[in-house]
Amino acid sequence: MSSRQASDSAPIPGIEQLPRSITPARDLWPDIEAGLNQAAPVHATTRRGWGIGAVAASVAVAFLVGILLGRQAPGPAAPALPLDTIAAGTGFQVAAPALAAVLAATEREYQAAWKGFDPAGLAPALLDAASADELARSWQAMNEAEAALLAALDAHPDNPYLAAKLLDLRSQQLGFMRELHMLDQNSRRNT
Amino acid sequence: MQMRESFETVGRDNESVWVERAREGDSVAFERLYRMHAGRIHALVWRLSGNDKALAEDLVQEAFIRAWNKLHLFEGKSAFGTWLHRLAANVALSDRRIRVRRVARELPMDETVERTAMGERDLQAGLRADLEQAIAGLPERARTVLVLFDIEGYRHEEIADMTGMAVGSSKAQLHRARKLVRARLEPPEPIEDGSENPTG
Repeated sequence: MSSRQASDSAPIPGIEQLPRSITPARDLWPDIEAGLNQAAPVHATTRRGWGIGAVAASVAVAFLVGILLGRQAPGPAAPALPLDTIAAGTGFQVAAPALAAVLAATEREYQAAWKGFDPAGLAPALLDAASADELARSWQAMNEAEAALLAALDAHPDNPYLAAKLLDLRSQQLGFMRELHMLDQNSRRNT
Repeated sequence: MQMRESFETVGRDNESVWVERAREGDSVAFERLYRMHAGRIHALVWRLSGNDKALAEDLVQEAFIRAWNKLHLFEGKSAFGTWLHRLAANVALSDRRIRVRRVARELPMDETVERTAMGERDLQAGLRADLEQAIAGLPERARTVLVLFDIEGYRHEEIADMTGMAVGSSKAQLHRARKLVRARLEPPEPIEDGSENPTG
C-alpha cells in the first residue's frame, strides 16, 4: 500500500475538531410542539391496545370498510320537525333541542370521518394479529352498541337518555377513528 | 438562553425522569429533552443533508415528532440520547429529499470574500468551514458513511444496518469519501507559465 493509499484509509486531519453539536438557527420547538398536538403519543396505558411500532391501520381499516359497506343508514328517517334544519341528514328527533343540535353535529362529524377514512385502506398491512384482533373486538363492541341504540331510538325517538348515549358512543367511535388515522399516518411515515 | 442552560445542566441528570414523564404524555418534559439534544440532532441531520439548513430544520422537527410517537418503544437499554440519535439518523436517511438531491453546490461569493478577510486567529474556523463544505460536497452515500463513521462514531456494521448497504460497501464508501475530501482540501498546484521570467 502506498503512503497515499494509507493516508486515504486514515481519518481526515481536523475532522475530530468539527463540532458534534450545532444549535439550530431558530427555535424549532414551537413547530415541534404543534406537531405533537396533531399526533398524541402512544402512552403506556394505551399502547397495548394500539399495537407496536410501525403499525399499519390497513387491517383494521379493511375491517372498518367492510362494516361501512354493509352498514345501514344511521337510524330511521325523521318526520318534519322544528329542528329539521339542524338535524337534516341525521334522521334523529329528540326532545331536548340542545341535545338534538349536538347529536346532529356529531352525526355530521361522524359521517365526515367515515368519508375521510377510506383512503387509509391504502396503507401497507403491518399490524400484528393480536393488535388487529383487539382493534376488531373494540370496534365490534361499539358497533353492537350502535345497533342496539339505533334500534332503541327507532322505538323511542324522543328519549333524551338514548340520544345522550348515542352521542357518547359517536364520540368514542370518532376517537377510535382518529386513533386509527394517526396510526395510519405513522405507518405511512415508517414505510 | 438561561432556560436552555438550566435544561442542559440540571436536566441531563434527570433525563430518565423527563423521558418517563414524556412517555406519559407530558410535552413540557419532552421539550426539556428537545433542549438537551437539539444541537446534536441538528448537527447530525445538517451534515447528512449536505448542509441544507432548511432541510435540516425539517428533519429535526420530524425526528422529534417521531420520537414522541415512538417513546413507548424506548426500553431504556441505551441512553435516550443514543436512541434519539439513531432514530434521527434513520429519519434523515429515509428522507427522499436527501437521496434525490444533487451535490453541485458552491460557496456563495459573499461567504468566500468574508473568509479571505478573516484574521489569522480565525484560520481554524476557516479550515473547519472548508472541511464542512468539502464533506457537504461529497456524493450522498460517501457523505453518509463519512459523517456516521468519522464524525458520529458509528461502526460499519451499524451503518450497513441503517443504510441497507453491505459492510464492505460502507468501508469502500468511507475510503472514497476520505480521498475526495482530501483532494478537495489540497491547495491548488502552482501555475508555471513562465510569465515571471519574460526574458528567459
